[in-house]
Parts: sequence; structure tokens; C-alpha cells
Amino acid sequence: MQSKRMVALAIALALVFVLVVVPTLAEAQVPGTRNLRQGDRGPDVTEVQRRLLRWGYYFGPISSLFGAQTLAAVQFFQRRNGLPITGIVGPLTFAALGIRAPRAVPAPDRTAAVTPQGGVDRNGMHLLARAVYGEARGEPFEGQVAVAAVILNRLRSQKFPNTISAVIYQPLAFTAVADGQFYLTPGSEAYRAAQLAVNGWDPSGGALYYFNPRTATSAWIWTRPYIKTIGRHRFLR
Amino acid sequence: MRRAVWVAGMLAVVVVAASLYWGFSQTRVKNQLLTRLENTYQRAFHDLAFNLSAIDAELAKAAVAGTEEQAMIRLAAVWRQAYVAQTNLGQVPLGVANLENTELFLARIGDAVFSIASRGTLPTAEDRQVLSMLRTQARDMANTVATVQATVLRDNMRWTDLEIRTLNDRAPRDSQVLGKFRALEDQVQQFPEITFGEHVNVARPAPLAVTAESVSAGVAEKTARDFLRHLGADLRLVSQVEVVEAELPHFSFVFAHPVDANRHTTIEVVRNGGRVFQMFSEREPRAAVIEVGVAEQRAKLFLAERNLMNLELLGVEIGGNTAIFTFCYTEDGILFYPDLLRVRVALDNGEVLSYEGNGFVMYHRERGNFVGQMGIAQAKAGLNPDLLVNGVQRVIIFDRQGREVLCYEFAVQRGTEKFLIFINATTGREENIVRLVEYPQPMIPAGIFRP
Repeated sequence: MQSKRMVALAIALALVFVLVVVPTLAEAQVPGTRNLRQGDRGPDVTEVQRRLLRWGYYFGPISSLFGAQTLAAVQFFQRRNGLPITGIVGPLTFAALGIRAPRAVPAPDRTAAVTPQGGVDRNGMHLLARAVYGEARGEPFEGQVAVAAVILNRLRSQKFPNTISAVIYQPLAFTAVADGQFYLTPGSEAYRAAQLAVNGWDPSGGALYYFNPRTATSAWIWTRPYIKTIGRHRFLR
Repeated sequence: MRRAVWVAGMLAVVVVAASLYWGFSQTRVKNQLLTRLENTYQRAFHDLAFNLSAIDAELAKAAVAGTEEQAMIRLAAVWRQAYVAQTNLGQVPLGVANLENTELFLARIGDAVFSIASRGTLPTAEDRQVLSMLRTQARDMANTVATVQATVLRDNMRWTDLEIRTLNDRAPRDSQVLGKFRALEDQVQQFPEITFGEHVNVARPAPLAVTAESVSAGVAEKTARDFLRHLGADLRLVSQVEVVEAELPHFSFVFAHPVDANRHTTIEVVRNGGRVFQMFSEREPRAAVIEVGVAEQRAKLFLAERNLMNLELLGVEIGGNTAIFTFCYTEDGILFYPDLLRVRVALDNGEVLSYEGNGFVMYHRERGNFVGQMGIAQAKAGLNPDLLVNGVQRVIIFDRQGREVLCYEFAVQRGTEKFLIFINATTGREENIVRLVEYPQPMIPAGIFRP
């Protein structure tokens, strides 16, 4: 019991250290090490402006001064990215801008490197999200991730075409593509599901097929090995 | 009165004429579009037939090539034709299930010739045996498709007809084309398995760590409840399934939240060894108020409480009021990339929403010591001299054959582009190059996890 308490104390101390001491030790000019608000100056402001400019949120000069235009751009960025609209560039906004405090998160970010699926670029994400939305909107969230995972499993499998578009547009492969629901604009949930699947989450258990037993008409689909049911979809090998 | 009848009659004639005209023009437009669609299908199919006969021809030439240069050129041609054939096959409306084995066979041809060609030497006796076997099979396949092609041309067969009937599930059982492709699937499946020896890409290494004895459903449920102790002690079991056919056979449990009975948490426990490999709690997080640093601590605490230690944070992604932290196992300063796990934390109250430990469960185990014979300086000498090296560390990755190898991971830069380059610490081979793409754009995962 005593030792447990010691461990808890140690964890708490470590937490205090990481959250309070480390940030103040860090140099203020390195992007991500201090919060930025109107009136601030420095190379970190420049970096924020540069990123906001590149992504089309900021139209003013790259001046290293956090002025009114920068404030408006930061608020615009926060609104668009679902962040609290404070006008202050804090840890959340820095992270969303892709700026990491040197201590908080190690650099370089190697998530990309260790993520299992390849072959999905920015526009591939749009295609994937559309497929998820067209095929599985209204399904439980993990059911949507599972549909995206099936598409990625096909991409990875040698039994299917080699690119994300070839998998999605394969004739007779997906009903949403055949009947045009694929062209609806996907919601943010579909994007999140697609992103999670790209990052390696596969709730389908490695499925290559799925179908809705209430609407499916093909007989062959029942002959494939069954994995599991999520929402209205049965997932198969 | 008479005049009114006359006017009405004229009007009726005009309406009928106009709708006839409209109907005809609609039909014409529809037929034009159908013909264009038909043309793309025909193009894909005839291209496919050409690709197959080209594979046969180039394999034949590779077999008689006497110099490395010619052998390489011919094998590269086979590789290219096999790739295009796969794409074309994927565009023919035959239904995905009717093409699986054929696609697989084309991929195998590509893999085999690529691995032989990538050594840059003349094919060995063993390679020649593989190539001649592949050639026999490729020729069979090319012949079958050529007879289908003859049928299609002779009978003016339309792929769009077949597609429309399949969509309405009135697939003609007597369709010669469909029948021949199904026969091709069976034929390909009966091809004897070719062992490519050392040099073939492994789709995904076998789950090396999942070898222990099976656990019972009762034990698995206990493990699951223990893992979910952050939700409280009195979770109600909603459903329980044993999933046998998955890559990892497992038990899947759904629990209801003690306070909100409509909120479900799914948790899956691998049957062999009884470790939890994924958990997801269905809840939509409200606006983010917690900082990422705090969420990171929550994630680490969550893992430590479940005896998951020695983990290095590789990266974090933020979106939808959640933060996803990716970790891998580390020991003696070596990062074990195969042993991967992810924790998703809600940024409204810091609750851990999901856990995904596929990689960790599949590959984390007691391993022997990895000792590289090369020093850093020696490995660095193998790098392209134009690169600026920002850092180096020791990591374990899968090589192209799916074996775990110790590598030096060099974080390098060329201009503004950043890469990770993996040099095998034993052989000095450059195992992989991964391009790093900046967050928060959707990532382009190049995948060192995959061999």
C-alpha cells in the first residue's frame, strides 16, 4: 500500500514536472513553447503566420508581429478545425497547425512511418470518406471505420486492384458507387472514420467483404467465411 | 364547340409529337452514354487479353536471354504487363468475387519477376524453374482469355448487358463469358503453388507472438472486465461472440456502461494467449477543453495501469475532439516498430475511448538480443552523400521477407523534404526509405511496418 502511494506520488510529481517546469525551461522563441496572443512578436509568430498563409487562412504580411489580421486568421482556423475559438495559439492550436513543442511530443513524427497501410494520399482520403459515407452513414462509428478498413484491406490484398481508386471504382464492387450515393458530400464523421482506418484501426478483423443481409440479393455472399456483425453489416473474409 | 374540339385535337397532336421527340432524344442520349461505357469496358478487356499474351511472350524471351541486360529488360516488361493486367482486370464488370484468384495470380507473377530482376544477375537454375512454371500457367491463362475474346467478338457480347443484369441479380447462368471466367478462376486456383524461395514480398508477417494456449470464454471475459475497470466494476454484458474466422481468432464482448445503459463498449480478446487487442467505447466527445499534454499523461497512465510499459510515444493526431497517441515498445534504446499500439483519448474529459493493439498483440514477445555488427559510422557511410543527417536511432523493422531486423534509422533531409532511411545493422543493406509527411495534412503512410 505504502509503495503504491509512493508510485502515485512519483507519477504526480512527474506530471507536474512535465506540465509546469518543462514548458518554462524551454526557450520562448521556439514555436510551440509559449502561447501566442495579439501583440506578441517573434519567430514563432512568423511560423504560425506562414502556416496560416499556406493553408489559406491568412492574407496579411509575414511580419513576426501578432496583429489584428493574424488574430482573425487564428480565429478562422480555430473555427474551421473545431477548436475552442480563443484567438490565442495554445497547445491545441499549435498541434492542429502541426507545430509541436520540442518536449511535449518527440519529433519527427513517425506515425506515418509505422502505419500499416500504404497508398492513400490526400485525395485518396476524400475518396475513402465518400465511400464510407455512401455505404455506411448511420451505422455505428466502428461500423464506418470497418467499411473503410475493408477498402484498405482490399488495397493491401493481392486479390484486388492496386490503387485506392481502382478498388473503389471496381465495377459491381460497391452499391453506393453504382447508384451514385458515393457522390454525396461526406460529413466529418466519415472523414474521421477514414482517417482512423488509414492509421491502422481495423474493427472488421481483416474482412474483405461485407453486406447488409436485409438488402443483399446475391447468393454467393453467404458462402464466404463470416467474421462478425457490426450494426447492419455482416463482415466476411 | 367544333372549333374547341379542333383546337384540343391539334394541341393533343402537338403534345404527342413533342413527347415522342423528347422520348426519342432521351433514348438516343441514353444509348450514346451506354455505348461509351461499353467502349471503356471493351477497351479494358481487350487490353487485358493483350497484357496476358505479352506476359507469355516476354517470359519466353526471358527464358532464352543469355545476358543480364536482356534478362532484366524482359523481366521488367513482364512486371509492367502484370501490373497493367491487374488494373485492366479490375475494370471488367465481372463481379469482384469472380476475379480474386486471377488477380492473385497476376500479383504473384509480378512479385516473382520483380524479385528475380531486382537482384540484377542472370536468373539462376532455381529461378529458371520458377519462370518456366509461371510461363506454363501464364500461357494457359492467356489462352483461356483469348477464347473468351473470340466469343465476345463473334457474338458482339456487351459487357454493359452483363453488368446491368448482375446489378439486378439476374446474372445469366448460361453466360459463356461469365462461365469461362469462373472456369479460369478454378483453373488458376489449381495451379501448383510456386515457392519463390527467399525473395518474395510477404503481405503481412505471421502473428509471431500469438502461439500460447487458448483461453476459455470465462477467462477472456475476466480479462475484458479487468481491462475496462476505468468504466467501473458493475458492467453489464450485452453480448459475447467467439470469432473464429478472423486473422486473430478472438472473443468479442459488448458491455453496457454502468450509468448510461445505451452506451456500449466493445472489447476483443485474442483466443490464443488471452490478450486484449482492441477496445472501443461509443461516445461522441463534446468540445475539447483538455490539453494534449494532459491527454498524453492519461493515455500513459491508462497503459501503465494495464501493465503496458516501456512504450515510446511516436506521434499524436488530433481531430474530432479526440487525440490519438501511437506508441511502440522500446528496450535498451531500441524501438520495436512491430509492437505498435494506439490510444484514443477524449479531449472533453480525458476518458480513454479506444485502444488498438493489433501490432502489440501479434508481435510483442520475449525476443533474443539483437546485436548489429556495424557501428553507426559504418552504416552512415552507406547513405547517399547528398543527405543532411538530423538524427539516428536503433529500431526493429520487418524486412521485405517479413523478418524482424535491427536497423539504424537515419532521419535525413534533402532540401525541405524529410525521410527516414533504414540501414540493416548486420548486413548494411538499405532496407527501406520512408518519406515523412507533415501533420496535420492526411498522412501518406509509406509503411515501414509492412515489409
